[in-house]
Amino acid sequence: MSNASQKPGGAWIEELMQRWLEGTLSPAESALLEASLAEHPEQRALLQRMAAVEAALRAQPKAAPSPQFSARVMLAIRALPCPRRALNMRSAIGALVALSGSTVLVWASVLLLLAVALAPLHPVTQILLSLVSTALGVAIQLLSALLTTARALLAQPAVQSIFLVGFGATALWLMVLRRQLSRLSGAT
Amino acid sequence: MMALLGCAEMPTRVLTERADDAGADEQAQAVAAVQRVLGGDREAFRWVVETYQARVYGLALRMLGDPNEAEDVSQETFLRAYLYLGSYRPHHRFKTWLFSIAAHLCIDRLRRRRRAPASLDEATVGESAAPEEGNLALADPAPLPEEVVNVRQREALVRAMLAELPPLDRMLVAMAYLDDLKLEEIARATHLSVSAVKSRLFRARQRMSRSKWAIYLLEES
Repeated sequence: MSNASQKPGGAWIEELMQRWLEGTLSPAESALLEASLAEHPEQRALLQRMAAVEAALRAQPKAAPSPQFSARVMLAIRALPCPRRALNMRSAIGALVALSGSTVLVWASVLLLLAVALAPLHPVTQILLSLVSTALGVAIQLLSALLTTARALLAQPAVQSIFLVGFGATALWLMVLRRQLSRLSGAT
Repeated sequence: MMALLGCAEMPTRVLTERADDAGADEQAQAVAAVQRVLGGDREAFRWVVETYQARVYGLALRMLGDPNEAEDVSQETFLRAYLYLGSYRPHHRFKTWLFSIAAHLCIDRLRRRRRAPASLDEATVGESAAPEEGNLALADPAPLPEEVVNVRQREALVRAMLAELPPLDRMLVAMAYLDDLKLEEIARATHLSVSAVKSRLFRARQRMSRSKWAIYLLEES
């Protein structure tokens, strides 16, 4: 309501009235509204109606359905199938990707084995074999490089202690995470 | 201000602060009940029905204005909630999820009611819950204490004002005054933004205050 002085009346004053009913006016805004009400009897009349409507809405008695309502609902529910947990879309997509990836790999291996067994000297088989051996060679080189670096690092006492602390902290974090997740999912 | 208006007391907040502890406890119980139902224990749904039936029915009654129709919609709400229980996510408040189902069923009813050709029988209920102008006396012939008459007249006037609102605004007002729902919860249940809920509620209240029933209400109070 910082620009109160720029909007003299109309929707702005009605907004002030509504906020007065909600009890959220600042003392300055309250004074402003009071001054406007003192000058404009039609605003006073509107605020009186707004207050009456507000009070009536808040005073509505609590309604209750017929006493047999819950029994009737439970009877109808017995005729329905048991609800099932809805499929989680993210997990479903993940599983689909993993499944299709592994299927492609398995079929590629089978085809390669068949090609090696049936036509080992065919140029296509030779190309495939050279590709596989190159890929395997690169992978083995990478792994051996990693292992050498890891062995060299693990020989350092400082690295050993960092690893120990890291493992401890991770285990602790996993325990806390598990507890929070079970609390969130409402596991009882 | 009070002197200017001649009011007896300062009105309190419309959307009062939620009793967080009680709400959290109810939510935890609701999630546990949902898990049990999904695990095959149908009877666990009884807790859900008994806990929320009055609030769901209250919402339907305020939106539809007819007790029989409100009860039908309430039953349909619980049956749908049961069938789609698997799609409920515990990080949302169960109450909001349930109210969302009820509110949309009510809106569907109101839209169908508008499309259907109005019969003379239908004209006496629901949309026409508005009392006749100048005839606010109750049809019940049995004499009633004055306070009861006043309460019923106020209820009839509120129903009449709600009936004049568009379905969506009626739903927002019904939700705002039903269970001290926060604006964020109403927004989530109605798939609107918080600012849209706020401005629609403001306009609905203004419209109600300007209706002819508000003058009767003022005389009543």
